[in-house]
Amino acid sequence: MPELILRRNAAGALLCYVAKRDLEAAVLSVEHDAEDRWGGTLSLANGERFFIEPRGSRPVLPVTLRANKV
Amino acid sequence: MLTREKAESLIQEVLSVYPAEAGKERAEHLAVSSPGEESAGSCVTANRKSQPGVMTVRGCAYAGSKGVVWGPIKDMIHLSHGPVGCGQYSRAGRRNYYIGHTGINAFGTMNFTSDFQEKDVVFGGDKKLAKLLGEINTLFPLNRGISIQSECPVGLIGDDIEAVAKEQSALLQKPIVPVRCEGFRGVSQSLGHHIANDTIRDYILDREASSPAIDCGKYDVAIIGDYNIGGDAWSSRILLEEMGLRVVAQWSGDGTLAELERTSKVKLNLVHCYRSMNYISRHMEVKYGIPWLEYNFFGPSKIAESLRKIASRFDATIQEGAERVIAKYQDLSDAITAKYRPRLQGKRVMLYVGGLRPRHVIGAYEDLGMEVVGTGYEFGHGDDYERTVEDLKQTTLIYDDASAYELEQFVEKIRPDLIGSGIKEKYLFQKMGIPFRQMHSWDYSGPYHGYDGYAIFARDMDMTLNNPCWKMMKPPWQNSTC
Repeated sequence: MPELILRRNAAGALLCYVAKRDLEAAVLSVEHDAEDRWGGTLSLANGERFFIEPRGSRPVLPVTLRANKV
Repeated sequence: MLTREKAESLIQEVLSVYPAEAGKERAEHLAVSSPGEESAGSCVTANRKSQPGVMTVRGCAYAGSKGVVWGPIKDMIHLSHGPVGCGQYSRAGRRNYYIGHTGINAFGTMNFTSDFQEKDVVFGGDKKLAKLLGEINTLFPLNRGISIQSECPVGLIGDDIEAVAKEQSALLQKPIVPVRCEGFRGVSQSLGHHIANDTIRDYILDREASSPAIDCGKYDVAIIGDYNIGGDAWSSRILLEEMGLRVVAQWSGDGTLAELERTSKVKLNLVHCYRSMNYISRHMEVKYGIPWLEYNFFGPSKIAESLRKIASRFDATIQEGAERVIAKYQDLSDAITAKYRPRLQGKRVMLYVGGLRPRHVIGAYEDLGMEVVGTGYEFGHGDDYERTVEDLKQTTLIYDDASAYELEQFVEKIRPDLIGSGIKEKYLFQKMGIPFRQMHSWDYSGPYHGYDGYAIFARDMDMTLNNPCWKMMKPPWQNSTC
């Protein structure tokens, strides 16, 4: 289970950083992206996808989350 | 002018001599970037193990930790734990300037080593380590702490330096940081940076501060990833202070333990060398909520852009301050450009360095009217190449972890007017008749950061490129006329 650090860059785009692999990539889409439900499958710019267990609220960024590789 | 076709055929030519498998692997590290192509950065494969048998110029994890991240912290003693050579041959080579009395309260240029002998490898070096930590503290009582920088044998024989550090730390009442940066870890010095960042997090930031707390101000910032090579951090710092910010910490050029401890209280982390210190910046963002911002203090265009970018994170006072600083130095930088640009206009540069320079210095060269036709990192990662492509304005050859052979071939075919790389490449290229600057430690010059640094940068490039010696490459007996 890799750990993802999610943050926003200066332009406001969501970035994902995988510390173990030193990989920084833009997050293209989040499956559930609403105030009351956030998570699911994250698609990254490099083509990889990660699954984060959906949660009841949007996380406060930056945040470190555990994810599964899809 | 380098065209895409020419660059691609050059890559094919260079790759053709490799055995099939090695050629296939190397092909992924070489690319051509053309303006308007967003994807070139992610086309380059980076941070992979070097091919066996080629001459790579990379360093090791110990170099990344002791030489880069920990070494410049001046009031701590950095012990090269293992055989004597690693510390001695890298001693004071990086020119991280500092203020202090060497051997009294600053230890930057000294070499401390446990000088492993055969018996230490056979019977273990922990007892020796414990003894010499005590000796260090007796001989240099003003040290604020000690970091133990492991060399290869320590990891190979399985010494428990963490246990010794914990015990001695309690005994001496000072932070003693065991760093597992044995040279064989990872593919380059890059992992050493990461390991060093992690130990700062675990043993300095998470520990109770040994220095008195200071009042926090709303304009407190930290300079992260400036190693004060030739005084770089000082010429950066004055600009930030002139615009009204308070620089609380310098990581790690001319830095102290107290500065590291105070960084968790700053409002913004300013990251110059992204490669070596993004890890700790990300950690501080998650743990303390401190945002971080990458900036570039090479050349007036990038300085002005960076100062405005930094100011935009603060209120109107700082924004006015930034404009005031830019206006103040405008005449100075214009005069430098006016003086040197006619002498350097249109000259082509190839770079092959590490860390931040393959992209950061491009702006400074462009300010002088020069073109960068090739650039590459020794130990960059994918995110570095993505950032680099944004800065490239024309067709540029990109090479990751280039071998001596590849670099020589590229230079032979492109024949740039100037090369910026390291000391191992310097004499080869000078003998090929091409002006060269050693861009790791500014060829014993510097600083190159900030407006003051730009003046020195421009002068150095001019004196290298327009040196009369380059017209004398042909011996007189080969001249057709007498």
